[in-house]
Amino acid sequence: MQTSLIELPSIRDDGSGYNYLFKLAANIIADPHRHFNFNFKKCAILDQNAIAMLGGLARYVDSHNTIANSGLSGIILQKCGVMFQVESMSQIISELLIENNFLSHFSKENFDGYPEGDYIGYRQHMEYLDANAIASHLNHQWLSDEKISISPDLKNAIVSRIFEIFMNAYGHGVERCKTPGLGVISCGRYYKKESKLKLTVVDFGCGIIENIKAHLKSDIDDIAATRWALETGNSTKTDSMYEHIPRGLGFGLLAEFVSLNKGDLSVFSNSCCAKVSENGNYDVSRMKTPFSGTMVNIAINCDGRHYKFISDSAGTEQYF
Amino acid sequence: MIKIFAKEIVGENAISMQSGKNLYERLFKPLMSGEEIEVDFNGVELFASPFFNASIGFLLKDIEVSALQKKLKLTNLSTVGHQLLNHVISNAIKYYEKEAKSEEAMKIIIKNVEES
Repeated sequence: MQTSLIELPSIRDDGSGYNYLFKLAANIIADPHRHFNFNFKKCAILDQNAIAMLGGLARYVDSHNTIANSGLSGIILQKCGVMFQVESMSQIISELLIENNFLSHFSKENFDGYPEGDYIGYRQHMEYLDANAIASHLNHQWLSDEKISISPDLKNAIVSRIFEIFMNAYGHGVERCKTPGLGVISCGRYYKKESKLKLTVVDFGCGIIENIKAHLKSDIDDIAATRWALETGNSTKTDSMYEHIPRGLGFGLLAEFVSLNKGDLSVFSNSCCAKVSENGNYDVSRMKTPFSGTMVNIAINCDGRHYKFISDSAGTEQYF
Repeated sequence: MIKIFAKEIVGENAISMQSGKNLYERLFKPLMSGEEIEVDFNGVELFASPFFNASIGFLLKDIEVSALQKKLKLTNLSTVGHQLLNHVISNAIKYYEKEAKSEEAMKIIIKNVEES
């Protein structure tokens, strides 16, 4: 069994943090049939994007090695996997990963995790979308009144938009994932000082661009495919329960919300990255390292100053 | 006027396409036969676009928005729900216009093929 030692640096929610994460993901996805030891000696900061990706990669490796070892005998013998070396962590990092429930998923130690509890942190969502379970989790546990003091309208708007991110992950990602059982991974963090909520949602599905190309039956340019996916009204109908139902609002709603809220939204999928600009449009560019899946990051201001509930401010006609 | 309590059909969360379709099925026939309907959203907390796409949005396939405004009354719908619904209606109108145009284009292509 081959073993790789990965010495994690500090990983922030910024450009260099994302570059590091996508390189790491590319290396692991290229060869998951080995054992990975993650050492945290050089890691002083881990933002929510890093935690979500690390959890997702661990599941990816586990899933590949479980499939690889389940063989003809039907016996699952998992020899490879991921080890997060807790003893190499600083006190700050280990407390962070215990409090946000990450370590309870990956360590044999008893870290008193919260498999169902009310915390803002690391979550592994099941393979099939249970809309009510996710909504209830977001509304009553994740953003409970005890943890975040926000107006009911803003809270409903946040939950509604975050739900769109999950819908997208289940549409573009999980349902068309080559590796079964991975589901959707999320990690959220509330920065009390700044009243800012940050959330990363990651899946290892075929990605937005691959989905668009398959749907359009066209080998269009990657940037054009990403722009097509983000345009209001366009949809690959991955949720296709019924024909002729209008769709394709999720990314448009997210961009409008983030723009009004003065927050941030980035979507990384396949070879492209899309970010919401100040005017509420998506700027699409190529990524240095492609990602075989989709990662969505959202930062939301929770102080209520930056969100207007006047619909006509967004130029939408009032039908009702 | 028929009164429908949305919470009895969708629960607290009006988010999924399935629950939207359930509401659509309660609305479609009476609206098509000219009845007026009030949908009371009291007790419904959360809204997401798939729900409105599959309910009110889907109605616009067969009913003009002006007719829908006359026949359908929505009460106790939250601010967030209202905003979202207006986005969905705006998108649905464009969606069905686009669909009608592509159907028209397809008819012309078929006609041309048959005539040639």
